[in-house]
Amino acid sequence: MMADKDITKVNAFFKNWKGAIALFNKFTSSHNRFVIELKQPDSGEFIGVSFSFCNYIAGPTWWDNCELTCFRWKSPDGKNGYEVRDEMAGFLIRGTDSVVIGEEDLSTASLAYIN
Amino acid sequence: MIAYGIEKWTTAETLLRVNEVGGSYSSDFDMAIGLARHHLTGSPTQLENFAKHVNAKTYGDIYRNWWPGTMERLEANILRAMNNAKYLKINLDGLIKAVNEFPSLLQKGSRGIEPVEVIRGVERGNITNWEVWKIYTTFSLKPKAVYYFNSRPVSIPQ
Repeated sequence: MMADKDITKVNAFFKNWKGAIALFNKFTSSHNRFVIELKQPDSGEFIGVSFSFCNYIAGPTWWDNCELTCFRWKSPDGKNGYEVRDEMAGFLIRGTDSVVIGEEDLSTASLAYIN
Repeated sequence: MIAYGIEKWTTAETLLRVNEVGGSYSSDFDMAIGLARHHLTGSPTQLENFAKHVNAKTYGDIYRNWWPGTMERLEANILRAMNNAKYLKINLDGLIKAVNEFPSLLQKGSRGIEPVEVIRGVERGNITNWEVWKIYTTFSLKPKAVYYFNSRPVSIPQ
């Protein structure tokens, strides 16, 4: 479950990666974990964003000029979760656990990825 | 990169012609090998475009689909296609940043077709690295290899 401060951190990270290329990287049925890769088109720098216990995904598998935003979301059975959207790309993902940036838990994520 | 340029490419051409005369291939197609996606733009058409550029067939062209169900079948299919191809045209773009990094590509490829590496939270497969390593280390395949980097044929470090 994500706290408001976590959503704020994720949005700060997404803002920093606005304009990147986004690619579906992996889905694992265990923990319904979905990974999207963000890649800087000029430098090739990349990072994975992992969505745990996601229960809905829609959108293209690859798009450029991404502009992701994270919102608080409540599942039909009342669990607090996240919703991440890219309106222009038509991308949407919802889940009830957490969004993890790179290989780090949000609580320990390097601020270098966020600031 | 220029150090591995035209002179050695000519040598490679010569080797290929010798191999051709020897008749060590059994089919009349060339096989294109390389990353499917462009390493910077993410475009999934890099290998298709390369194949058109060098007049070769991709795995998908040869087998009509890209996934045979298991990694074991994929490996067997790739090897069969490599053995049957006349030339193996290898696009190094995205696999290395300069031709002198070729040994590190081989080192990764030697780990096998299946290993997956997680880098900054992103999973990276090893199929193309393994393909290049397999070609380079297989006596019957090595002479059929033609390497390309930045859309130009290059010779690789021996």
